[in-house]
Amino acid sequence: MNIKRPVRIILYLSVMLGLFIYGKVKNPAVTLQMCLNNPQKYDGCEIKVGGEAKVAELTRDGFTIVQMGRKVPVKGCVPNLKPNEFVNMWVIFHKDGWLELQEIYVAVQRRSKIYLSVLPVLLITGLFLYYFKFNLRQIEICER
Amino acid sequence: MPDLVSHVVFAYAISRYFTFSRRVLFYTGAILPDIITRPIYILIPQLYPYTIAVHTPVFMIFFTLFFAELFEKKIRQEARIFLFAGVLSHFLLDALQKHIHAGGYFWFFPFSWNAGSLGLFWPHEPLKLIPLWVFLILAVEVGIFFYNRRRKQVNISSR
Repeated sequence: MNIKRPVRIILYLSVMLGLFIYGKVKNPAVTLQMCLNNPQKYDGCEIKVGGEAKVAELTRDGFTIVQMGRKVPVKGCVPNLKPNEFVNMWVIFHKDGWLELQEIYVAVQRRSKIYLSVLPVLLITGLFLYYFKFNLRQIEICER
Repeated sequence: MPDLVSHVVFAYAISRYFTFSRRVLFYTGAILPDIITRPIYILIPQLYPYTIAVHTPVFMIFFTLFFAELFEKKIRQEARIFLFAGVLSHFLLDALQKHIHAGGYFWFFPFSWNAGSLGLFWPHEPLKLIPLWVFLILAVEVGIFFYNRRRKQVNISSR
């Protein structure tokens, strides 16, 4: 096997690992979890809430969301909102642990989108395996 | 992100006249940015911050180069080109969608944390058009099949 190939593979993997870590460490965005962990520091901070946030229940003045197992009340009325729907929101965090709604996108049909997206993955995997095969001895993908 | 059916339909429209094995590489590229990120944070939302770098053009350049290295030498260069062209088609479609608060993807990561998009449609909207896309693809493929068959018959009868 050509020695340059493993060197290139290691190089690409190293760069990807570097980007991966840089993306986590240097991301300037303030998340809901950061706010909940340090409410005093982030009081009044405008944040985006996404990351698999779901409506847990509807309340008189808004609703409650659950994200990563933590329930957070949101004040702000959204017509036709239903429990269990995924939401993306732009909110103001308050140190008492509630959110003031500024802007919301209700990700309707998100589950259908996820289930439907499995079909092309299966189709393309099937086509890929039809046209290409993995040569274990050379550790490479070859055309059939 | 639009659903993967829409990404593949878009990739199909662009790559219809490539050879089929190259189209498969193109389609693979067209779904790569989502299949290496979405399952991770859908199943384990705590890992979402780690996936931010992955769904970016710079990361995908290196991922495509890495993936292409797994191909045998004679098709490696083509694998690089077709996989990355597919990735570009994915990002092109992603760039058209709307995000709240004029947000979007980090197109210039790691050089800038500015996000943006053209904001033409919400992520769920292409779902409504899937039956139309499937119908159009079938119509095009059936049309091409009959056109080719007729041309073959004309060629045989004219000999």
